[in-house]
Parts: sequence; structure tokens; C-alpha cells
Amino acid sequence: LANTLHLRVEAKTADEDERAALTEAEAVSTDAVRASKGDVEAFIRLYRGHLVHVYRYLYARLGHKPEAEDVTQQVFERAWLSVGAYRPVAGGSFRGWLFTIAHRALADHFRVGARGNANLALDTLAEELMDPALGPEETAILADQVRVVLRAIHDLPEDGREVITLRFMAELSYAEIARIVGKKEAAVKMAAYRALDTIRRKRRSGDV
Amino acid sequence: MSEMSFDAKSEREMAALEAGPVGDLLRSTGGAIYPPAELAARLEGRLRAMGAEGAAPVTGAGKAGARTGDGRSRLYTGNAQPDSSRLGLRVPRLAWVGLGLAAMVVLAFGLAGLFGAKVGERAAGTASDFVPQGKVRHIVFEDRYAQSTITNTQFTDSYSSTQGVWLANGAEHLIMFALGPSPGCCERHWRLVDDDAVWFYVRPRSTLTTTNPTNRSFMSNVLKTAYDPRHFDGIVPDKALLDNFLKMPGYSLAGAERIDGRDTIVVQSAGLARSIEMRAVNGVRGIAVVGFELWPELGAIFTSMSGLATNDQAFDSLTGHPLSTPTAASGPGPGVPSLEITPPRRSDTYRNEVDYRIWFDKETYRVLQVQVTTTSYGGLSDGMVTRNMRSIMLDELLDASAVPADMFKPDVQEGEEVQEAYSALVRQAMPYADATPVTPVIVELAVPGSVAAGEPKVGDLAPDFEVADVMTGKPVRLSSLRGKLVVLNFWGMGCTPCTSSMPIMQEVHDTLKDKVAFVSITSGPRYDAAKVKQFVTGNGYTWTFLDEGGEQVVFNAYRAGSIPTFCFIDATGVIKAIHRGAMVAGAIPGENTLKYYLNQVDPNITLMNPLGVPAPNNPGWYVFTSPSGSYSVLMPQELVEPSGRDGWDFYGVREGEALTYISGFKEYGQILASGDANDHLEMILPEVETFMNGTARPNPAKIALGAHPGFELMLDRADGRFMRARVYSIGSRAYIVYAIAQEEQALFTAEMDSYLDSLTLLR
Repeated sequence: LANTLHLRVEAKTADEDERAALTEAEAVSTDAVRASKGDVEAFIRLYRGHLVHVYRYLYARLGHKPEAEDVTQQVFERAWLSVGAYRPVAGGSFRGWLFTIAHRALADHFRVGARGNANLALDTLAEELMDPALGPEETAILADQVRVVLRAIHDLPEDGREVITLRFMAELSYAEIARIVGKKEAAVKMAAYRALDTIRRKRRSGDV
Repeated sequence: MSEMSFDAKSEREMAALEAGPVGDLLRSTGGAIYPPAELAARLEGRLRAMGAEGAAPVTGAGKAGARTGDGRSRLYTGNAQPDSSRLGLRVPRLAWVGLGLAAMVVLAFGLAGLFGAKVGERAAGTASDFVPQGKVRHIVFEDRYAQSTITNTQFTDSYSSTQGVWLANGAEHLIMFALGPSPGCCERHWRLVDDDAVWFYVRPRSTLTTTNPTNRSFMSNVLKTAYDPRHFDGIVPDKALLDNFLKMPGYSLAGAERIDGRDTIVVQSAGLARSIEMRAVNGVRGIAVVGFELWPELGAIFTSMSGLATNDQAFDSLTGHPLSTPTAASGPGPGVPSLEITPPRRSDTYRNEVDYRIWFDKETYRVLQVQVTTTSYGGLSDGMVTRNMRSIMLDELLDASAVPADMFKPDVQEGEEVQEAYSALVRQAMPYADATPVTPVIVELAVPGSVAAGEPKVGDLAPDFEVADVMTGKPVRLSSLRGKLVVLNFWGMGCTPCTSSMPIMQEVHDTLKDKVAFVSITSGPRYDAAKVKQFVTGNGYTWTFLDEGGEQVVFNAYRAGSIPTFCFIDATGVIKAIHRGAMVAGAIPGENTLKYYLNQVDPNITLMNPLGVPAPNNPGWYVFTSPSGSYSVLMPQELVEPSGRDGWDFYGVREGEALTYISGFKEYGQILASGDANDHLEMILPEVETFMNGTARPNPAKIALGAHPGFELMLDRADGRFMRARVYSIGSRAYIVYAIAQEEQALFTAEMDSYLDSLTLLR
């Protein structure tokens, strides 16, 4: 079922792409346009709407609260400084644009940072990240899950790791992910497919 | 990246992985991570400082600005704009449909053949199998209960999801108009139903879910936020649209006020703007989900104001106020007045609603002020929704590229039957549904329906299994318990309705352990045997507890798609009854539902008194009180049967060959039982009484907060065939259903009246 629908979704025409762009524009146009004209309050509204996903993405890749916070700050600072150049593109979203920046900021961080990509510091208290709405039992379970799953994501090859994080933490479409990482959509999906399959196998064997 | 081709097969497999447990795991992991609040605040200060420093970005007035230069044009996409001249005001219901279409989210797909349960391939049903065996013609289903049964300490599981399951069973098409955001119930539902269920959670742009950050544990609050017009500067609705708007059910003129020296028209919503939640299960072939964000303009207002605030934290930061502790420190912006926030009122802790009040300039129709009133439960955050959602590419579904704006453009002419509008919806959904052609209309419910392939039914031999006892570690084989009545209970530790059923089970177990074997079974990776053991020991339960681990073999074999599920198996191993939902004590004073079941399934067990009490002045008649106590009915004893459905009134009323279940007013009973929201109860009950007496329609304004739908279902006693479903509402929300199908309303009213006439109401 999901397959059927998904395929249908992917088989969109250029026309529909255009419409997607319009809808996206509807969603954030006021703020994105205002922000691009220098309206910091509009930008802050955008920031509020996207902070959670940016942070999820970075935390999942870094597994380290202070670093995730640092890079999150960099992302939004960079975004503010370049939002003047933001233009809605067909099939693209503001979030996609933002994550292009996040993707680069992360790459820069890995490049210049003392810590390599290989060190996923999952020793932080994942409990602190949980929705405070949850009770202690839920929190403990989820924190456990976060540690285990992020470890599994981290153990993936780099392409799969990035695609999976963009897909499930940033909640981007594959088309957007392809744009962000500069690969073909099919390649991105292939990486996602392999990564998902790896996680599935780990899950089967009880590792996740 | 690989150069290998990514073919359709890989694509399908990937989509299956995404939609399956692996995707769930990843999604729920993402949904569990939140940025620290101090980061959000610090960063915001930093950005604001950067803005103030003049580190403004390069101005980009070009393309984007030009494209959205026309304030109105950006609010509409093509034909989404309602055409009042065509729809006409003489038939507001059609205008309403048209307007509804303007903003609706329509999802359609087909499931036929995927579960091996083709429509038309029918299994025999029995009257005691409470799964409706019919091809459902169409169901207008307002999904509110899961939400409203949430109390401040617990939520009663998925009243509506459970109903959703079986309402959908074998349905050709399911058209659901669902307005209640009830994310709290979804998790266990889809997770357990697994491959046979699809869960949609669609959040329209205007829904703001708020929670109280200082006490999120199901503490709710009421937030009243008055937005400054500067938040939606430039949005000027069309006058004709406003005229239409005012004629739409659910919105009303709330008077005229002066704002900033301007005369205004005040429009008040009746609680219509809500999330849409959809699910389809077990072989539903086409689904049209119609959302009621009635007015695209309004959606745009909120979108532009909120930047799509999609969870409580975003909303918190959006308003700049922790919801429970208003501060002026971080208002919406320089020079913009702070938001007005009223403190939480406990008595309003009833459901999650978003209501609007809009002030239009009388002359220009500019929006001068919008007030959003959100009544919500804590804990139902978007994060939770994300975690819980088994999304089939939700982003794409919400994206216009997946659901083109003109996907549903029913060419409904004035005066046409409303059903035609339905048909048009479904017809247009078809290309997006299964490629298999299906009758694109709402079909009469007639043919006995199918249950999911392999699902054990009443009368079947209970699937045997052997699972280790969590207390002793020794394997227990179900068939070894033959000779006793077995109550097989599927449950989970995080499931309050499950655990709340257990004291009742213990009570019955204490008196009946020689005759009845209770077996509770858990599954899934979250609860290992050790935790269950701890739980059982801690609570002093003395019957048998099993844990089958993560594979869910037994759960799947019994299709324990929702928990708790109780399966009553007789001494010969035959399933006598299946109950999905909690066992409830005190529905009738001193009794509980488990006893009813045992009485029903085993003639040798007599645990309780007759269902009713003898009527003092009518020999041979009995008084039956509804579970909530909100009304009583005088009937001959033999006309009454326990319904066996959690969430439905306890009595099935026999009418000739039919057995009718009334959803009734159980939620109030539960709220009363939990000691919560008594204020509401006091407010609502007189209205309920009025309704039940049939003397007058309730006053919508009076019970706006308490408005809720009811369902009435009629099954054929002989074969369990699903004969008829009715939806009725009390209060303003009734208009929703009625406006869509006034014929239905008339039918309902007549039927309901005649039904009520057939009963003697005591209160």
C-alpha cells in the first residue's frame, strides 16, 4: 500500500512540481520573503518553525549536545546572513534551502573540528532531550532508543548516514535530499534503501 | 553512492521499509529529540541581536517578492478558490462543500488485494461477533472520542481507533470527516495493527497544539491569544468570501465591536478548525479524507502568523511565552503588544480545540484581529504525533505535488444531490487509489463483510501457542488450559486501559479461579519479561502472565490490533467472544464488564444480577441506566443485551431483528469516574437530557465546548450484518454533518425521533 502510494507520489510532473513550489510559498512565503528583505522577526518565525528539525539532524549526526548546539547556532546565523539570496525554487522548500546550509555547516564542522566523524559521543544524557511531556518510564525508554538508533545510524556508511538523517530527522523528501547532497535522487534512494535494510537486519538480530 | 539502478522493485521495498517498523523506529527516534529550551531562547536572542546590528541580509526583492506581490493571489491556488456564483448561497450546504473542498486534504488509495481480503469475499459472521459484517455504504465519522476520553492522568485507549477499525472493516469506501486531533491514541493502534492498518494524521495549517510546559502530564490549559493585526498585515479577504463565510455552518456572526476606532464584524468559529485524523484498515478500497479547514484565507492567516508552528514548543517560542507563565519579556516583536494569555482553567480540560474569533473591518474587510482559543491536553504534542505516525510519506501527502490542488473539483451543480458530491469526491480519488477500478460511489451497505484474512472469529478454534510464563519461566500452552474457560488478555504495560482492567480481572479471578483461567500476554520489544514480572509482582496479580517477546506471533495470530483485547475461549478451545477495549467497573453500579462477558459466554457462570432493576410502577419492565448515568431507559428485560463494545453503551437494544448499539455518552461517564471535569458534566448533562427527551434541540452555544458526536449502529441479529450507521451530534458540531448531507439529517432526525418515541425516557 505504502509502496503504491509512494510511487505515485514520486511520479509527479513538472507541473506538479511548480504547484508544490506554490504551496510551499503559501506556507512560508510571507516570512521567507520578508526575511529575505531583511525582516529579522520574520526570520525568527522561520527559525522557530525549523529549529527542532535542524537540531534533530545535527544531534543525530554529532550525538553530542554542546556540539549540536554550536552547529545549530552556526546554521541559523549563516542562514540569516544568506537569506537575502533565498529564492523559492520549483519543487524546493525553505526547509530544503535551510538544510543545504545545515549540511554544509556540518561538513565544515567535521573538517575543522577536533573530533572526527568517527567519534559519536553518545554518552550525553539523551534524557535531557526528551519531550518533557513524557513520563519517566517513557523518557527512559526513548532515551535508550535514541542512543541505540543513533549508534546504528552512525555505524552506516557516510552516504547512508547522511541520507537517513536528512530523511528521518530533518523529514525532507528524497528530491530535497538529492538537491542538498548534490546527488541524483535515485542514488540517494539507493543509499537510503541500503541503510534501511541494514537497520532492518540489525533490528532482526536484536542489535537495534 | 552506488551506480546501481534504483528500480521500481527497490523503490517498493524501500517504501515498505520506510512504512514498516524500521521507519517507525527512525521516525520515533527523531521525534524524541528536542532542542533544549535554553538553546532556543539564546539563539533567538542572538538572531535578533544580529538583526539589530544591521547584519541584514542582501535584499532580494526579485522573484519571490514579485510572485507573491498580490496579497490575495498567494492565498489561493487555482480553482481552490470557492466560486460563490456557481455554488450559490441558496444552497449553503453546497457552498459549504465547495468551500470545504477549497482547503481539504484528500487522500485516496486502495488496499484491495493487499491483505488477501478481497471485497466480495465474505466470511460468515454471527450476531455475537461484534465486527460489523457489512459493506459500509459510507460513514460520516467524526473522530472525537479518543481525545475526549483523555483525563488528566490517563487516556483511555483509542475509543475511536477501535471503532475506526471495525467501522472500516470491509468497507468499500470510507469517507470520514474527522475533526478531532487525537494523536494520543494512535501509537498503539497502528503499531499493533501493523501491516493491516494505515494511519494518517493530517495536520492542517491552522491547528496549533499547545501544551503547558510546566506540567505537561496531561494537564491541559486554555490559551487565549489575541493577535495583533500586524501579524497578518495585508491579508484582505474578499467580501464575497466573507459573505459566504458567514453563511457557512460552524461560523457565525458574533457581533460588532470597535477596534482601534474601526467598526468591525466579528466572526466566531464553532470549533471547526482542527486537525484531521484518518485511518483505514482491513481492505478499505478507497478513502476520501475531507478536511475542514473551511476557509483557506484563514489558514493563510495562521500560516503567516505562525510560520507553521507545528508543535507545542514551536508554539511556545512563537508566542514567546511559556503558556502558563505569561511574561512580557519576549513579546511578538518591538512595538507589538504582548499576547493576552489567560491562566489555565482546570474546568476546561476537556478536549483539544482551536476556535477562532476574527474581527473584520466593516468597510474594508481587512482582518483587524484574530483570537485563537486553544483548549488542549498536555502531552499531545506534535512530537508525539510524529513519533506515533506510521506515515506513508506524510510530507508528500501534504504536498500539493502529491495531491494536486485540483484533484477534487467536483462539478456539483446547484441542486444536485449531496451524495453526488460524495460520489464525485470518490470518483476523483480513484486515480490516486488502487488502479483496480472500483465503483466510485458510495455503495449501499448490504453484503456481509469480510474480516481480515485469518482473523480469528467467534466460533473459531482459538489459535494454540506456547509462551513462557514470566513468573516461572516455564512454557504455558494454551491448549493445556482446556477444560476451563480461558480469558486471553492482550495487553501492554504502557497502556492505561490495559492496566486499569487488571484490578477487575483480579477481582473476578479471586472468585472464579476454579472455573476461569486468566492469561495475560504482552509482546513487543519495549516490555521484556523482567519488567512484566516486576509489574505483576508489584501489583500482586495472581493469574498467568506471558510475554512473547518482540515477534508478536501470538498477537498477530489473534489480530490483537488494539490493546487491550480480551478473547474468551471456552472449555473446548472455541472462541466465544472477543472484546476490544478496557474492562470497566462501575458502568453499572457494583458490576463490571468482565462479569458481563463471563455471564454471556458461559451459562454456568452467574456473577451478576439482571442488567436492569425492576421498574417500580411497571411490572415486567426494567430500568436501565446508561453507563454514564446520564439517562435511563425503561424496557422489558429481554430487549437488552450487553453490547460488548468498549465505548458503546452497554445495551444493545433489540428492535425486531436488529440490534442497535448506541455510542451514547460514555465519555462523560468516564470523566465523571475519573473525578475530572465535573464542571463540564454539570454543563452538559442537562443538554444531554434535553436531547434524549427529544423536546428540543440543545442550545449549541451552551454546550459548544461539550459538543460531541454520537454513533448509532444497527446490526442484523441473525448474521451480524451491518445494517445502518448513524452519526449524531449535540451542539454546533452537528451542523457539520448535517450541512454535508441534509438528507441524512432529515433521515436521522426522523429515525432518532421515532427511536426515542419507542423508548420511555425517565429523565
